[in-house]
Amino acid sequence: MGEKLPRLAPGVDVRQFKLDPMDGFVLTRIDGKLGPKELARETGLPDFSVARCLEKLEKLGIVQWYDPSAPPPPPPAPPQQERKSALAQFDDLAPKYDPKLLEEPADLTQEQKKRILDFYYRLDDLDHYTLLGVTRDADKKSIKRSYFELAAVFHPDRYFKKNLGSFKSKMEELFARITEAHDTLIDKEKRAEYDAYLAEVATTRGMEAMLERAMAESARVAAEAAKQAEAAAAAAAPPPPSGPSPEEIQRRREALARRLTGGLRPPSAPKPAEPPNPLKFASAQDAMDALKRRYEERLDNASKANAQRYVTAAEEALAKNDVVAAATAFNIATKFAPDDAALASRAKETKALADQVLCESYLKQAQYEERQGHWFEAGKSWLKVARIRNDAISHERAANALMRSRDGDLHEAAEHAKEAIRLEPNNINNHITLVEVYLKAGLTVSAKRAAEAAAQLDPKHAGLQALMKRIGRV
Amino acid sequence: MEKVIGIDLGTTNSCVAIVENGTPVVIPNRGGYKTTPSMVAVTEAGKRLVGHIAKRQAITNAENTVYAAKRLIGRKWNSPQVKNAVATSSYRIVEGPHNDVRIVLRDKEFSVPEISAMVLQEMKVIAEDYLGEPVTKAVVTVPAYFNDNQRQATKDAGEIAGLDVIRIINEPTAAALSYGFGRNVEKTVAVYDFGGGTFDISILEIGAHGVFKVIATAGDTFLGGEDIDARIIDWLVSGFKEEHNIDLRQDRMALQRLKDAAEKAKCELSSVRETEVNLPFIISSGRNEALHLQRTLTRQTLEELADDLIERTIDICKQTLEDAKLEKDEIEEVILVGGMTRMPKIQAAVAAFFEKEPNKGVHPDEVVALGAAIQGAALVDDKQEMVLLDVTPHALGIMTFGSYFEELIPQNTTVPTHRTKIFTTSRDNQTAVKILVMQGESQRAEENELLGEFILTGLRRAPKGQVEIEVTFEINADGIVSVRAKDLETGLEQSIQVTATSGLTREEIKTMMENAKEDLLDRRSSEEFEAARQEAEKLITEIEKLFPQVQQIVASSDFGRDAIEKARAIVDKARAAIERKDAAAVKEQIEGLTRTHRMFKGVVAKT
Repeated sequence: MGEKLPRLAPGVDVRQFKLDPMDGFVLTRIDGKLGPKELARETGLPDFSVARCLEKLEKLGIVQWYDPSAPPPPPPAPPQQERKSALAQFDDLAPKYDPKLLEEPADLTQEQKKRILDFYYRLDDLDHYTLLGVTRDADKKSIKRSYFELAAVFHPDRYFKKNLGSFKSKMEELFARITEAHDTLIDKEKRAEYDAYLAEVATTRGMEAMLERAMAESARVAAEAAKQAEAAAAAAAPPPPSGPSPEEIQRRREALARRLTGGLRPPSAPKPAEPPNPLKFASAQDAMDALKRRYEERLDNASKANAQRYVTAAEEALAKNDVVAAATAFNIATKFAPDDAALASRAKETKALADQVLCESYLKQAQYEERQGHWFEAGKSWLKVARIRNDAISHERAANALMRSRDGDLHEAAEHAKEAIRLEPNNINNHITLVEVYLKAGLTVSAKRAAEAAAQLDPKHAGLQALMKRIGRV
Repeated sequence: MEKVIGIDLGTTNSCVAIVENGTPVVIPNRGGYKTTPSMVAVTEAGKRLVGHIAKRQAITNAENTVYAAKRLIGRKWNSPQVKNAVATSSYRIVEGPHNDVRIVLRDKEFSVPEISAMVLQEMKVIAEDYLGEPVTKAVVTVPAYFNDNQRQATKDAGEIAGLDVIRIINEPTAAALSYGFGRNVEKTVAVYDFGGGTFDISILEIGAHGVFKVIATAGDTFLGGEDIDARIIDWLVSGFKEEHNIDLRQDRMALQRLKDAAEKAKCELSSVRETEVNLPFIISSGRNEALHLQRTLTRQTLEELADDLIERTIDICKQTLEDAKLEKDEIEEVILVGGMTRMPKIQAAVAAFFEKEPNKGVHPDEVVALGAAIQGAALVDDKQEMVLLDVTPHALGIMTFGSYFEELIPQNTTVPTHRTKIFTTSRDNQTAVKILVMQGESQRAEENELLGEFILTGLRRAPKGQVEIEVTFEINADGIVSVRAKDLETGLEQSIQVTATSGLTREEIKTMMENAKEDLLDRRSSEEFEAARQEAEKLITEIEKLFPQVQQIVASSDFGRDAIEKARAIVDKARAAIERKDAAAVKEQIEGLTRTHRMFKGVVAKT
């Protein structure tokens, strides 16, 4: 019997599950040949994250463990059966649209309306592959087949001179999107460019998830430390502590670490030397003090060891040039050793580096999305850039993209335009963006107020004057 | 459900078809022929003749018989193609009031759509006779390479004929529809369509679910069987001139007889190796003595005469394959359409190019009309499982500063579609922009077809390049183009729906362009700057990294110190240029940066 490896369970449609980006990212790398260690290397995620993902995916029935040395499973079902219809891919999922929309009168069957809405309201979540319902390694033939299946339904000619109401424009948008997906994926160069973009998105998503987990993890560590301190304080006073004993806490912590590291035993913390014989104490108070000292010493040693463990992991990650993993590990390490100033500054430095890496990637994504005219996505990417860089220009770009996207959040757009103004109050462009956002949202009074504020900077600005005229007309 | 007929309005012959009980059939005319000559004549008595009857009297009434009107439809008077037709046609072609083309029959002027309408009307009557009920809806085919003006003129012809043309489709596409209809195949096919007046090549994908997707299409709207006829006529005329020193072209009736004979000889040579052209009493000599034309034309001579024309079609095939990003062996079927493909030399040339025997299963004269009928049925009948994904045969875009054509929708884009690009103003304090909507493949704007224009005013006064204008092109499923320009700063917007223009001359366009120059948009330079900036910054980072090392190595020599100083200066200059956002200056510095970087790397590598 060899080591068991994870592979995808056959016939499972992963779209029906609520997976977070990191799960999805790990999932894309599972091919039945890689073990958890290799997956960690492939994804750049720490072992414990991969282990957790695999645990979750196994529970959901998406992934199963198998023995690669065992005889191969019976040949898979014929491809026609395995390949799910691109058109029917969302049929069994909960609708993402307001069911009232189905009531709009149109020369369409209920079934057709449902299909259109099912696709239309998922457009923002779908990449070219998932829209066409094909895998990442799909060949030209299956891409075309899926495209043809969808085009046969979403091409406006299918409903020539029919009354389609608001479904018409939705269908046109759908057709444009599936055509864009098809044209991108069957062209080698365009597909490579798009794949690079998706990879960029996937890694940053993986990194985001990792950072999030690291935050949660360090919060937990901090909370536990606080609890232990409390316990220690309680131990100092009679009656003796009723909470978990230090040994119990240590045991629990190790179990947690084991879980995090995917069952691999962490380099065990040096056990504090047990006195060979119970000592005799002069008084009960002496005994109590000694107990407390011993307890604190043990706790301290364990924390130091834990911190060291994460520092080592961080250094390994740095050596692999994985700054994000390194930043994560450092961050956790600081929680175990909150007083270590050197460690804290290293953690801070690495965090800044990791942010820079992420930021560059988001910037690239935002630029690709703007080039493709995908304003909704561009808005999201600019927001991420803004979160890291927090400069006026990225806030302004985010506001601008949100405003131009089909159904961007105008409230959020306004917030970012305001933030851009706060950071760079003398740049009239920031003001103008805010005015435009207000106008688009139909908030004429606010638009007017914002325009007046802008006018204080440059009352003769022609763009502003034109906007003022528009406000006047409204 | 209303019946929709499909009409192949050809240069020399037309054909009408309909889908009956799910099967497309060609409707024969009263004479029992499946195709009808696209000829129109007016008799001395003022009677209008169309089809076979017009063809039969063509020789005796050459001046009042119109053939190949399709070559003139939607064209402008001063186009070279029209000039050429004026020289070689037996009927009179004159200039119309809108720089368009008019044909004179018995002293009455007809526009070209009117002439085509007579043919369409004839096809309508043939269908009505057969069906025993009135027909009002039709799908009409045009050469794939027709531009919007030619398509619009064809639509107008339908309207004049009392037909609601619910869709115009491309001839090779129609042929593919007919080939793939009901066959349930998944194939990539090439349609080689060499007809009387035009040559087209289209590459299509026939897929599951009745989907036909055009991948690429190209052609030449002035290359067809008529041109081969003209070569034969030239050959006959020059031979006759050598013998008798008389130019037969001066006589319109002789010219019509020659045309007839040339076409006949050409057709015969598809099955025999040689044929005799025999035209007794073709003209009388100066001494009032009747002269006869008698010459033997061999297949080999014909092939030599047509050789460069055939070569041209193959060149277009090559280009189209490249456009489609396909290799020859990815074409699974080659379909031949159009009368000219009966010529053995053409069949051989196509087979040699595609390295594949062409499919002979479709009827080259009927397949296009059948396809049009299939498309018509698919549009109105919900039960028909067929949808055609067509492409735009020409690129669409606008003219930018410097008379460049800036493409928004590339050639061979699947419709319906929409594309957006951002432009900037081209001069300081520009308050208006003129959007000239154009169609064509040339980078030079004036070589493309102008489709329409509009002006966006009220721009902010600013240095050039600072005001951003977003231009959006949209083509809907019916092929109608609309263009929108939006000032991104103010949200001001202007748009037009482009309807084909039939009016402007090249001169007028030129003057218009001249006048518009002041108001044109410029390509957005920020993209250019961004690219240059990234490259420059990358180099600067690399150089900075090497600085300490290089300094250590070469600082001892005067030469080294000098080099380092120079490198510093270059880096500083590049940084300043980036700071100024001066794309041209940044680009200029990139060369110096590259040189410095190379030198630094060399120094470090040596030690």
